[in-house]
Amino acid sequence: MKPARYSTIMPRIALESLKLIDIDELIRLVGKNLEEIFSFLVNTTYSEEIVSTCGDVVEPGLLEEALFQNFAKTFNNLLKNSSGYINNLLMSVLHKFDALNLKTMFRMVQAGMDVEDILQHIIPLGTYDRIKCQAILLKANTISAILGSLQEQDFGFFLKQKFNFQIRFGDLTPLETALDKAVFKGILDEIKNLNRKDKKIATNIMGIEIDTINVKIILKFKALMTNLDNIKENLMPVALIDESILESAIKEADIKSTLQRLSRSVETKHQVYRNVFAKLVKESDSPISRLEFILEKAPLEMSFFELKKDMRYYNIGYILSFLNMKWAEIKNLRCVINAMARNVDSDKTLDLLFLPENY
Amino acid sequence: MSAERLEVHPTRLELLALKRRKTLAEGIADILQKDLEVLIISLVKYRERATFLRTQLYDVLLRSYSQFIEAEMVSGSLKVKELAVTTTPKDFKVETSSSTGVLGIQFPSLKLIKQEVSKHKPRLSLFDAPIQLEEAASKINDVIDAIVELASLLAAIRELLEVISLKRRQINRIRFKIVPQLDSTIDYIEYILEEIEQQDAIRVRVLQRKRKERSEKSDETSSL
Repeated sequence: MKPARYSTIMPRIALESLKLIDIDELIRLVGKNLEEIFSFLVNTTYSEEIVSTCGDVVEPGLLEEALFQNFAKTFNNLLKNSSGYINNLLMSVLHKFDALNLKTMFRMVQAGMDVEDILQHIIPLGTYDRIKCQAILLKANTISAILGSLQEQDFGFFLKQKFNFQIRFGDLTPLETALDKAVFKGILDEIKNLNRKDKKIATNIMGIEIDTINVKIILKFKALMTNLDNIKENLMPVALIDESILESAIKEADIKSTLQRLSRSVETKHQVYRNVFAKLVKESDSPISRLEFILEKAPLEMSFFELKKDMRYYNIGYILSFLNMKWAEIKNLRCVINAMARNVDSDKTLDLLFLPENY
Repeated sequence: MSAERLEVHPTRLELLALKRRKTLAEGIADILQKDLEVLIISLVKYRERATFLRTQLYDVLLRSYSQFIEAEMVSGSLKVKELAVTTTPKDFKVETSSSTGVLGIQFPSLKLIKQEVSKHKPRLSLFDAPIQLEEAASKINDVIDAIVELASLLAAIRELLEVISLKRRQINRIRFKIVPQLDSTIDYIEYILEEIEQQDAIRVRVLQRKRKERSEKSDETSSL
């Protein structure tokens, strides 16, 4: 891809990167009360959304909403300043949030919630924002009707195929899995359109996210001792860890041997994969939530790795890494806010923050 | 305060009957006292078990709640709330019956009817739900048995307390009402009987004196 494609988006990325909250400042927020967090956030890039959403009321839910709004604004700015394949890739990444909102709609419609309640749970991200969801929900009050309204749009085709299962068993899982699979397939398809160097970087950064999701699903199945027969149906499209490796990992007797199997299979692959799986094997006796945390942190670690490795300014790594760092920042702030609201001690909060390795 | 007397005829027969009743009442009070002691011992045992279960429950619920908070920290309060309202609630059926416990007392007994758990899929979304939520829910599931046992124990404790209070009332009634009443009636009858005896003795002495005087008078007239 020619650097010209990056001419408008890279200055925007550089500008937005400068607005990221310093890790030290974030750590200092841990243990502070909501008013102090609010005062801190109104002096950051989140000020506009915080002031407009919260007003005089400082509540964890409202602060969370403001953080999402800021992420949406940043993402939209990037979309506006991108073109061609980069724009297509960013659009496919944005579909992750569309899938989240659609799943929320399906679940809440199935649970018989009213439109107002459903809209409160729609995050202001992606193309399926509150206005669009409200328009859909006002016309359709069943899953079948919602799917009908999606027919001509992005996910309608995939979901229609799975709808019969939902009707038969009242189970939303196949529908939700189909949606997630469609989103990740879309991302992987868009990555294929990038040039050689960008394709490699994007596969690493987005691939580790998809692979870790598959590992998380396997671990969850094993931890909950759920029937492993239908596990394969729930796996996402694969990136660096291929299906045969996942299948052999599924067959392992317990979590430890599953992780060891996966660790052996990534020995010849990317360094970050090796590090992540080595850490997972080392902590395989820890609670599953700890393993899930390590897996969730993997895309961020890959982002840092790619930023360090490839100092060439014009590459997709900068954009995807920035998105991962921004998302991690929002998750960290959300964690600090919710910890404060529930009086969680500082040490436990720090354990759940996504911080760079060896911080 | 003197006890109220029973309305009885102050006869020796009645006195004997009352003394028999008193002995019987004291025997019943002793038996009731022993029952009470047995009930108190079993109450202490039930209470110890209930305290143990309650501590265990408190620990598990605390850990479960802490995992729930962790889930909120990791996935956000909105997502956790969404998953909570959209997950199919689990129904628990509790069968009530009664079982014979200490001293043949019928205690209410609760039994959890476990429903078949679907092993085909996790309850919450595989993709969106943090594992902490599943772990918290599974911890709660594990202690449901203990919750039902605790409820059963509390019902038994309540029943025991009622029986203990009834026994205590019965003992108190015997010791502080029936026995003093009998005592006072016995005392009264004994007093009346004593009075009658004394009057009889005087009457006998007067009669003897009169008889003696009459015989002396007749002796004098015969000698003249």
